[in-house]
Amino acid sequence: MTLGALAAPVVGPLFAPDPYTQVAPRDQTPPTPPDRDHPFGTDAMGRDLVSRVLFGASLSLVVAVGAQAVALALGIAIGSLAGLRGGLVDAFAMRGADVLLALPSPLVALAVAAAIPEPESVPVLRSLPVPSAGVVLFVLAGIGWAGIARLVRGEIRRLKAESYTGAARAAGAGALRILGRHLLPNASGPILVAATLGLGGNILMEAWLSFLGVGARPPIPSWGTMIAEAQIHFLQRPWAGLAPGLAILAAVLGFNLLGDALRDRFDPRLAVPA
Amino acid sequence: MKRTFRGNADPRGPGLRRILPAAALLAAPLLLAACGSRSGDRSGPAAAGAAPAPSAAPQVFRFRLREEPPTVDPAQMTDNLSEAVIMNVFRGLVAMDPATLAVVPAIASSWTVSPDHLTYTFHLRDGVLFHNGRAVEAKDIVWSFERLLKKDTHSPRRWLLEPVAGALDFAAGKAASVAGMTAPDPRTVVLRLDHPFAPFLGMLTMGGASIVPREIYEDSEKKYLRAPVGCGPFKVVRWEPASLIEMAAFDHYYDGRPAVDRVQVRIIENQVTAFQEYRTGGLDSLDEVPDDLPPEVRPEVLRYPLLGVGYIGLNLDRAPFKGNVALRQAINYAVDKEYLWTTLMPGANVPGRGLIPPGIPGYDPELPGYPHDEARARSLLAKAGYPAGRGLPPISLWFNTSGDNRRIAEQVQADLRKIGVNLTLREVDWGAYLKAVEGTADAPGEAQMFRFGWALDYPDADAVLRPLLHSKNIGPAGNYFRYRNPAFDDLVDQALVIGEPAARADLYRKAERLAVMEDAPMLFLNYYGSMTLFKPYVHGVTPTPLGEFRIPLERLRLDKPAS
Repeated sequence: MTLGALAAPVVGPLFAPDPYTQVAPRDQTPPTPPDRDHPFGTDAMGRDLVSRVLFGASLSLVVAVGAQAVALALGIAIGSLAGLRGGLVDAFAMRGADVLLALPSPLVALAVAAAIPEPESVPVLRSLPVPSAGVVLFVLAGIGWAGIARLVRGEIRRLKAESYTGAARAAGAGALRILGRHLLPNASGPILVAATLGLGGNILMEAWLSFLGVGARPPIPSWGTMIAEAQIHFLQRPWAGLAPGLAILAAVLGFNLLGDALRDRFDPRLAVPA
Repeated sequence: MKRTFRGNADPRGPGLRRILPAAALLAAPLLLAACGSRSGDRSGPAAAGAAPAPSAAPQVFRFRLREEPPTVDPAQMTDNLSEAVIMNVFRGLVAMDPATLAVVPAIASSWTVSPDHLTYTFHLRDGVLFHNGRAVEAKDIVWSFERLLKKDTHSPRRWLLEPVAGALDFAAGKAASVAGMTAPDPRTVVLRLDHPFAPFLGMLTMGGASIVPREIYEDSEKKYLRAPVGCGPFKVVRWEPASLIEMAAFDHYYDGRPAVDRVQVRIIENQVTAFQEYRTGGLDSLDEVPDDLPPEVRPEVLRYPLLGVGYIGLNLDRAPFKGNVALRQAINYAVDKEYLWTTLMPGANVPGRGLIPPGIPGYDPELPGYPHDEARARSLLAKAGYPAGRGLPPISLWFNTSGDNRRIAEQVQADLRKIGVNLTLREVDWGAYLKAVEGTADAPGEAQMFRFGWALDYPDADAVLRPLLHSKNIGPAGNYFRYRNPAFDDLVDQALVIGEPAARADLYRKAERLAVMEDAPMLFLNYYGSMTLFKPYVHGVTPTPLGEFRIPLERLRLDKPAS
């Protein structure tokens, strides 16, 4: 399932029509029902839903993976620093993370995204291909790092007490070398699991924000926007909302299953047969 | 959201033509139901005074308002909910025929205008009675008009009478009476204007110029705010706050007693509840038509034009539209208005060709406008210097978050993309939107293209052409396009001082053609329309571009099946 989601943006353009072209018959009020050429039907603007969902997949994934990558980098850096240094640095970093985790993240995301109504005019975002989705990416990253930092810090502190760390230090290795060679590789399992599980959440959040209108701008297809546009037709012409809805379901489920599988692989305690 | 068609802000500043920006139209949840309907069999004026079905049970017509009317004092009225009561209870010197929008006699049975178009002499009809039984006399007109002008009335409609000589002095407290207003005898009123102003008579038909009895409206306790008294076809007999206003036919109405005995105005806020009431028979008419209408209700939809136009403005002081008529015409031809309004969003709106909406004098049925023609759009684009869109700077289309704006913008974006013009959509809230669109009198706004609509404050071509396109109104005053054409200005100015209606209409047609066909300062999208539900047993419905609450109730006849 995850592979399918990952492959969608690659294979999509190969066989699906352009997601921006209005393909519905000119004499029929869209959304038009599924037919042979357009198996998911068309959306409220008469555009092919298969293409829209496939292109939406690429946006969702880029935002989700991009946000997670930034969050991971931030989280590892801050978490390692806090774990290694301890003391005041640790206290500051972790209280910061606590504050962030204590806030309801959907609301924070919504507030930040809504506070930047003009992503096209923000310096960093302007250079991105889709500035409006860039906001979402950075917002998700800005929230996501806290959990990862806390995890990394815990792992570092645990591993610091291990005898091989002591041995490395005795052998004269510097802090960075110890971190890079001994601590992080050993902590990579839980970090990877957390990151993968976070991807599903990011996809959901991206869809939710676009649904509320603060994500990607039309006509760029985003699953959330597509569902929002299909809302008014939900009772009489459900296919318009069904396609992106199922896509979100599949992608999130896929990443969660992947995360679970990774956890099973990396966490020996869970793997012990009962 | 309240839909206020008469303008929803306080007019400020001197002059008369304070046509308020039609914020209402933009924000209005335009009712675009995905349904087809026939309206033919109900259109056309009813035979007024046709005999009601002989039956012992009183004929009660029930319609719905979203909210309680903000006021029933004519002097304070600015919105269409208040109109729903006021226009049935009160009458002015003259009235507007709801179908033809011609000025027709009301309290005045006839009038004359002097050859210099400055002096209006009104002859009052005999036997016009207020609801309290007293006859209407010339002094009532004088008193009512003075009340409207007086400072402590704080009327947002004072400007209706400001063309009268001395009105401003009186309003400012500098004169004890209005110099230009006299009542030489109890049956005659004379109004003298400062300068010729052709829309004046039409403005006297507005609710603000209603005539009220002094003995009721001098009340310091303001009881009239719950028990209005006028001389219209219906009188208010019961008012249950936030629930019901009941009006009864006025037996001595000068134009004959209405056929319906009573009218109940039911206040139902929720649209779904209201629709259920309509379906189950608790309402005979409903102003808001749900989007997904059950098929069996569709024949009950009445569609009719409103006095409004929709368009996408082009900023003539910004690249790439500045000085490039061919480009502006190209995008006009590129957008398929027919598809937009008949297939994509079928409803009451109809494809637009220009600026003067159908129904008002000066509307031009022959105006070609810009029918969808992709080939022509492409060649004009090339002529504009951007073959297939090459070399175009980035263009943003701005719109405020509301109703169908996004779908309209997306459709325009999709159509323009076909000829190679790529738009960025900017969806912002109302405040930010106005800021980007209005600019100042000296500097253009940021928006290059902007989705806008205009509701006419009074049914006169002047109420759309002057505020939108006269060079004196550049900037926040209404000319957001920054359109400057001395020839256009001349035509519109001339039309204001001409009294002869046909000649005026001619000038407006010329002005519209000039702006639309020669200069194309906007992308013309639609004429607004409205939809109202009426039960099949309601006869004599006169659809009117003045809005759903101006459908004259005194012309209705019910032939309700016995229950």
